[in-house]
Amino acid sequence: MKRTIASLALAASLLASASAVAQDKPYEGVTLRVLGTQQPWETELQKRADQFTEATGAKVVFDLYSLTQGIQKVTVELSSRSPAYDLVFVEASDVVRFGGGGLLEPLDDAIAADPDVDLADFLPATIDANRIDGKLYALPHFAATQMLYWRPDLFQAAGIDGPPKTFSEMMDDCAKLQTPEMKCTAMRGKPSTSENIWYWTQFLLGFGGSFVKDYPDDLTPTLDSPEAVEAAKFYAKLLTDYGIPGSVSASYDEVVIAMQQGDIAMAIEGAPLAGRILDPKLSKVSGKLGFAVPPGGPAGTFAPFTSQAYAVNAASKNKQAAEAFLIWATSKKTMQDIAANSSFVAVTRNSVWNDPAFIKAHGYDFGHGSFTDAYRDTLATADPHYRLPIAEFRPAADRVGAALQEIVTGQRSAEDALAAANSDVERIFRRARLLR
Amino acid sequence: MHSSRLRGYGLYILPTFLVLATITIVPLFVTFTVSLFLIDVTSGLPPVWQGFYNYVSLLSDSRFLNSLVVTAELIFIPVALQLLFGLALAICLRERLAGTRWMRILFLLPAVIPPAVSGLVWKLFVIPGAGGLAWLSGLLGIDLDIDLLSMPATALATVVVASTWVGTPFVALILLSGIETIGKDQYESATLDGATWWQTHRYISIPTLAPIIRTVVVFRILEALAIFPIIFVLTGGGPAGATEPVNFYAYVTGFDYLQIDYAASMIVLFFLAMMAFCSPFLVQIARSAEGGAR
Repeated sequence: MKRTIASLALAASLLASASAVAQDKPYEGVTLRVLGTQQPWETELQKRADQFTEATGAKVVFDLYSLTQGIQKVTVELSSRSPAYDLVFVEASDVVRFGGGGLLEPLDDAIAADPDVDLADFLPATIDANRIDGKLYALPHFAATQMLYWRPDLFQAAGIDGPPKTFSEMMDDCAKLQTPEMKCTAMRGKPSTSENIWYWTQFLLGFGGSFVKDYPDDLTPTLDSPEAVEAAKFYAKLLTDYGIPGSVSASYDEVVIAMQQGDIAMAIEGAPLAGRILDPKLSKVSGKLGFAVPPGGPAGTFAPFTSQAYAVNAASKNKQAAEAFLIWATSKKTMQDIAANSSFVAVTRNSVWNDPAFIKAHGYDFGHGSFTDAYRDTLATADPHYRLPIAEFRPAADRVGAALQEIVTGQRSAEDALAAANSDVERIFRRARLLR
Repeated sequence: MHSSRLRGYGLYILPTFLVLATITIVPLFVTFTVSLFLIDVTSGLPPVWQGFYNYVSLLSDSRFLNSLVVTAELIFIPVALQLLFGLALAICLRERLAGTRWMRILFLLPAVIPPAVSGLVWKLFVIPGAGGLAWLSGLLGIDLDIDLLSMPATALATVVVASTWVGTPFVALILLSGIETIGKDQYESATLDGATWWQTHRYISIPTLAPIIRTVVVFRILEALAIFPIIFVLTGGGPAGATEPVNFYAYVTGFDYLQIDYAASMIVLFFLAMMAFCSPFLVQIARSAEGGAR
């Protein structure tokens, strides 16, 4: 038995070297290991990885985890400089802590060598979010944002013309839309960077506030500013007066379910979740929705934004093959194929957004705003630094998330809770030597 | 203990001592050292000496101060409840009522289930609308549809209940073995003298058990924070830190935020606090054990 295996292995390696000589498959014998998250994009990519193997000879193995666990594992792998994985999952906010520290391989040379990449085709914010000091560290496949889902039938019945364009219109509309049987809206209330902060930051920025005085020159936190207090009060009022019961601890799941069940008249929620909200098997409101860019404040509209991407581990031993795979995975052809043939819609390439097959598959339009148009217009307003690209953003934002919950539950006034959070954020930044 | 005796037996103790030192003292020392430097694992820059900066920083960290309060709540409330229920259980089991023999095995179950599984069991139990708790309250005609893990007070209460559930069997078994060493004649003569059931336990069982109770309490306190997996599965420290004890905050700081030095300083501070609190009891226990051995 042992001998058979040995001779098989020998034969395999002979074959491998023979074809390497032939040069038609440049990465024959290479096995690429991908560390990522279990999400629709990865599932679809996995199904198509054979195409890459066929073209280049490199095998691709995926290790996929839940989002939080995946990010944590990437963090440990990269910071220990382990070569175990060639490609790793990164969110835009993580690129800064890994790319800046030299843990990710800059992709500029590989991209320059391949004219098919066409960086100009990507949504600008998704590329900017992955660039540090002029170097690109990841190729994005996923553009996350939130748009406004609204119920034209209910708006009409309440005598409202169209979706709210500003926060104050949203509040006024809610007063008209809400009935004893039906709440106006639902939103994320669970305290965390990825839950209530992801939602609330658009109010903070829209009212003219910000996390810090002047990114990147002055990182003094300004979460106790009058604008921030106003944004927090607005959020708290919207949540307590017009939100579904249990909003204080709601995550995006509760929001999606409330929308699906027809329990609310409108919601600002993740565009990638449209697939679930519109599924006729799960949703009572399929076919009854309008789509729009979310409302803004006096300072403008700031729809939430982050990108998800893969990057090449700087410690990888197969960098060239890894780069080739990444370029292939985010190519027009692959992205078009995945977007047109799966529920994945959060694509990052303009050419896919304009692709007739994609629009046919996902261009939901029930006469009150087309989904793909609203999504594209929302992304066009995206601020690549919606989440501050500093390594300390997560602990700081988690802290502010807890303060928001204190405000919503009435434990503390907005002024007190934010002042306390601000001094904690200042301490976090000071500890990391971001402040003098 | 005299030094001459120590010298005589020293060679025999040495291997154990070395092993213990490697797995306890060395990591502690390393942790302490780490806490004195500013370490950024992603940048690859060399560590920068910062002395006790982290410790000073901790004192103004409201999340840390909150985690201290949560730690105290998660230690003392469950341990008190464990002792109460454990004692009651032990006394019941001693009475040898019908069925108590197989009950002993059942009572032991929570103690042998891995903590992560216990967390999962409780999580499933309190699922709003669909869990066992909703079903039980339905039997009583109450429509319980609230998410206990979503509000600070109820989330903490759930963790306390789960922790009590896990720890009680151990306490009960130790106390039971203690009760069983008390001669039957003591109870019999007390009963003959006209003592009630309550009085026999109040004046015989509990005083006899006092040293055992003390030992059990110290061990439960030291072990109370081993409910980390339960918290991890059940609440993840939330909502808003309501169930986040020091060790959980240190874990999040170290592995989520990658502030390894800061996490190390929390652990060191916490270790010192625990030792300061428990060492008098530990010394006392060691003394009485030594006295017993002679």
